[in-house]
Amino acid sequence: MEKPQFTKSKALDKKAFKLIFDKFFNALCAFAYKYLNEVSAAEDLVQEAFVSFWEKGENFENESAIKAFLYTSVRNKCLNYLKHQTVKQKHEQNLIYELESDQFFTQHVIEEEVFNQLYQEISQLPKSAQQIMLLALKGLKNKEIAEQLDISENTVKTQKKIAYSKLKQKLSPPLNAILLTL
Amino acid sequence: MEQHFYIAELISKKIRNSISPEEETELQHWINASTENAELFQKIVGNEQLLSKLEIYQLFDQQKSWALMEKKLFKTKTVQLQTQKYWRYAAAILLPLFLAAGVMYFYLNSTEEDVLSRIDKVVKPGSQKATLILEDGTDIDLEGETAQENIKQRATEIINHNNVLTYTQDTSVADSNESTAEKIELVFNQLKTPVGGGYQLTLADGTEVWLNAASSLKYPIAFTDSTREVFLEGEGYFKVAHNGKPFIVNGNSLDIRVLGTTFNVSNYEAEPLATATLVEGRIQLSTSKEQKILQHNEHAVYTKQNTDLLVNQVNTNVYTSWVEGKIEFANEDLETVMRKLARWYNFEYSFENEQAKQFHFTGRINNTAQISSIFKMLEMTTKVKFELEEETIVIL
Repeated sequence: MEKPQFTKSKALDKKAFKLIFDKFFNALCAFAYKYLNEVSAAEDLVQEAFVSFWEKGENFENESAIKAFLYTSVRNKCLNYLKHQTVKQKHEQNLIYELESDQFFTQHVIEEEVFNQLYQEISQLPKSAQQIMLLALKGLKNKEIAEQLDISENTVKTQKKIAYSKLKQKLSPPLNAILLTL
Repeated sequence: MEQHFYIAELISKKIRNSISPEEETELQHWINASTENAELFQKIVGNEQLLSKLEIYQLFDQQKSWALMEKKLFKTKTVQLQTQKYWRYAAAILLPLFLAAGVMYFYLNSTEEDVLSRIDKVVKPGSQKATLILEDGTDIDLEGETAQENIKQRATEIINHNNVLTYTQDTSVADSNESTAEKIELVFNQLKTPVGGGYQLTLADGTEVWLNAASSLKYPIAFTDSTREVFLEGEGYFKVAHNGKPFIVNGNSLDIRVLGTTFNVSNYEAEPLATATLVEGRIQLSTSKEQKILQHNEHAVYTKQNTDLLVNQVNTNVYTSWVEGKIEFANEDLETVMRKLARWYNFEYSFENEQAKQFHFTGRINNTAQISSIFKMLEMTTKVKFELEEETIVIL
């Protein structure tokens, strides 16, 4: 995949901003979701993080600096959000503890970073192929996938073939093995 | 944190199988550094975690969030609007050129066995065909040049010839009925066109009707009442013969009352809009809540959802050219375009690309053209791709 250029211009332009957004939005949401367990709250906080990133208007040295800013910003926003919840349950206290712990934080960042790279590959596939892949990875048989998506079994097979040929060059043997058994 | 991103990259490279020996050593070194690291590594590469994670990623609506943020951060400036306007003019000039180039490109490359020519093998243009349903429920298939039927019902003769069905009323009988003022019961026939079909009909009063695909017209075999009433579903083009009696086209939600005029009605159940287009004369439209008079060159659009009836001036050709064997689109969204095409070319389709439904398209083809010629134009002028999966056209 091509790497967006962040350092060329002093001011962050909209195009570069969109590239960054596209690349990290889902990963940051998943990261926030781990703590909030609410899809829309996660989306909102991540949007806020991007807004403050844009408004900061600063020139970041490289992608790592941008990622660090975004993950840290989302982490802080999650903490604020959880602390402001009126009913503080034990469960949330635990989450706050996890968020405040640097060790958990870095572990979760690493996880998200790895998955995001894989996700970027899969999201290059057509929507239908993605859907079929997800169900297949859940262990559903072709026939069950066809029923669930209301398409023919043959379509499932064709889509898988397309997905497989697109992904196989990019994934390592263990993942190839999953795909082959589809 | 940079170091953590580096570790993440190593793990990701490991999964993608693109890790170098040096990097592998570094990764091993990190894994061995602590049990936490080793556990984290195992957790990440484990399949189960991977799968649930991918599902979680699908939960979030990236496009919607971007749209919200874009609104907040980048308010449109007037300067931008102006440039957009110029672009629109430029597009208006350039688009036909691109279209022409596209069509030429298509013909020059038509020998290639590509996706579109595969589609042409499966999806064929429609043809003149219909089913005639008589009063007693008998079905008669009308198809092919040679299909010829001569039926006599009561005092009416029905002839099918050259893809035109003609009713001829024995005037002596009609006159005698009128003179004796004897009210005779109306006998109805129905002409139905399938998806991928069309037909032409001359009613007993001389009114000519062109029936588009997937449509049906119910009409009396002889007009013995004080009004001439027919029932239309789908699309029909009427040249109503003037004989003093009002002619009424009943539709699902839109009724039309005329004396002698030429007009088109499109009132498909599956469409959100019903339209009436007047070529000449005057017609009166009635909906459940209002009545409006349509003058010539006017076009009425009835929105089923809110029962609003709007009238505007149009170039009527766009709405009536189908009678001359054209399929025409005037700035119509791709969803409407596909519904129209599917009615004539008889195919199944599905939108993989939801955004594509909003693309607008203007263009015209002959209804005998290969479907690929229009798909090619659409691919050239909008950001869509057509693929064939089994027998279904997929819009990407």
